[in-house]
Amino acid sequence: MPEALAAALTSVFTVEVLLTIFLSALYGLFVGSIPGLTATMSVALLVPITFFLDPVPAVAAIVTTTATAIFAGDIPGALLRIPGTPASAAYVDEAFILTQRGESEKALGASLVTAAIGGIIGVLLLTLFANQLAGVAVRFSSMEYFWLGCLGLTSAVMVSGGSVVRSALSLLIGLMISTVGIDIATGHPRFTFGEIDLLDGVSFIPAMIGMFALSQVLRTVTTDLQTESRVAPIGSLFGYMVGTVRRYWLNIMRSSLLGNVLGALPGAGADIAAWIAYSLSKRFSKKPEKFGKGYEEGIVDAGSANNSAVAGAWTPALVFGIPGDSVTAIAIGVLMLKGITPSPRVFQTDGDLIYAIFLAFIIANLLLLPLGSLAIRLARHVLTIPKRVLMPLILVFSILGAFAVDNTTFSIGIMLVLGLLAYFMESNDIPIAPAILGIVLGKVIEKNFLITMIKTEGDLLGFFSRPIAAGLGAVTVALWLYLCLAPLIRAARNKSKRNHSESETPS
Amino acid sequence: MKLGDLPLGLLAGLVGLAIILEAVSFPVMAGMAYGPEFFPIIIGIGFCLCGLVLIAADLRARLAGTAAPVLTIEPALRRRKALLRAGAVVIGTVAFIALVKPLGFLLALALLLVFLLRVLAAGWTITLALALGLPFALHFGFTWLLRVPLPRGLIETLLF
Repeated sequence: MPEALAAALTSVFTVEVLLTIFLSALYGLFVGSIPGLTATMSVALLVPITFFLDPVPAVAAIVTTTATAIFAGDIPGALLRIPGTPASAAYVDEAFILTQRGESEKALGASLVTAAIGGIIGVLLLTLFANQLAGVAVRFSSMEYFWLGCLGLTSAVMVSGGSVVRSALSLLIGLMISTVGIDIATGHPRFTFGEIDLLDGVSFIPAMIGMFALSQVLRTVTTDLQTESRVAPIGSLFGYMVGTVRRYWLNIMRSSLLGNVLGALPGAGADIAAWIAYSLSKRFSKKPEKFGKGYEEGIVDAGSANNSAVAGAWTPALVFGIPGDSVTAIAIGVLMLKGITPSPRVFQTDGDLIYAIFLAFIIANLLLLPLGSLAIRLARHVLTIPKRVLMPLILVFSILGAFAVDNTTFSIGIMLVLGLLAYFMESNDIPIAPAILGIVLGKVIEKNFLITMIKTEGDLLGFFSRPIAAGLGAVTVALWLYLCLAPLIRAARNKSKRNHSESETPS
Repeated sequence: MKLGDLPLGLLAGLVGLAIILEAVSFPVMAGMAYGPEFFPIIIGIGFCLCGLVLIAADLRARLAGTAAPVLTIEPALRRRKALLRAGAVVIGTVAFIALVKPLGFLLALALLLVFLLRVLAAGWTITLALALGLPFALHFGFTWLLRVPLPRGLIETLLF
């Protein structure tokens, strides 16, 4: 580890990498602070550029952009009551009430300092967990990976919120997309409709750009092109930042740990971490009656949890190749293109790169303090960029991004089709995140399934033949049963309750 | 455009059946218990099951008299202007795909920008500034800095 760390230090502290981190931080702050543009979308648009960078600056750019964009989402949330990214939605009311009372510095100071500290704690936990987990995971074979993939998909359906059927539908759409292209076992083309460009499968980056950027452009041009925003000037934040840390350090620690663990669950990203941390904060607070009336404690908890979750999502991504959220799903794609396959051995094979990722995270979160303060001051101007100018620009960058990945106009078509699909899905309350995980994990699951079947000569019980695989399998099957049976049990219980109350009331 | 549970369930079921029908036509390899058709069939069955659950939920809601309408159009999409704008985004992208090779990147992108910005009613000054400036900036960034070759047309041949 010391050699890898030293190598990482020398590879991170170069002009190229530091400049990349600085520019990505500005970019992340800019995109994150524009309502409707999410952290995932900012990373998806960044990817074509990372293709042409070396591995370390490429990953540093992704890491920095996410960390800063998640914080920047708080800015329009506090000033305009429009969360810039979904991760800020949990405490947007709290922050806006503070702004209305003329205390926007209190809200933004708290969210800035907790974002930076939460992010740094998140990285430290990532360093700790990922290495330990990798130690166990080196003994995993295709059976364990098959179950991990299934477990990831199941957790994506469970935590994505909303109806289980709709999440499952989203997941199936993603899995279906992942089967397009040449079959790995026999080489037979599947669902390609005779299109040569589809033999390699649906290109992942154009798909992501379409699902996150194009669908958002469509939504914005049809709904809120008119809204113009006015923002009052903002004073100094420093005093509030120091005060927040002194008063709430225990909350910051607790929620950073919570956010990190939640972030590591596939499908549960920064947004879910923020919601859970906020509700726990209210439950454990000494003054729960102040929540919802402009009280910074909820902002502190949720703000540190969402930034810590960003780092947590990298744990399963690096060790198993199973993304913890949509951003790491993209990051895995970028790593693979750079010839780095996430696996438990990644700490031995590419240790310097992994530690470089951790270092980039820490630098990004430290940079967040000065640059975040600057962004808050500049927010007044960014928030007044008219959407009628911004949306065509985002479309242009989406088109260019999709094109640059494979250098073919076919990818622009993929982006368009999947953008329309995502727009349709969102209009029907079908969440997008499970589909993304389906696209990434579909191939992993199928490959490991087929490898296992070749090993065991078609015996399905082989999936339970190794102790860890059997354990993972049992958990997964139990979750499936729970997902299928829980609604039935609930319905039956409601019915018996209704019958009960009907028999008691004399008719 | 929001579908009710019944049409959404029917759609999911149809998609599932189509997937299964296509998958069973895949060639079977001798000696392999699970071939290329195995996963698509499972996915197809999954679509059908989701469809059935949605249809059942819709029928149950119908019996209770609380069924959602078969099709709801968001208020945003009922305005002609909004539809035109969404259409412009789609048509602009399709036109760009078709035109970028014959016209070259610079001209195609400039046309796309003028078209979109004007449809969204941005001012002429900003439209012209972006349409004349941005293609060159991006061309420089992608071909020189990132070394991505962009489709060349008349303007590129004349200038570079």
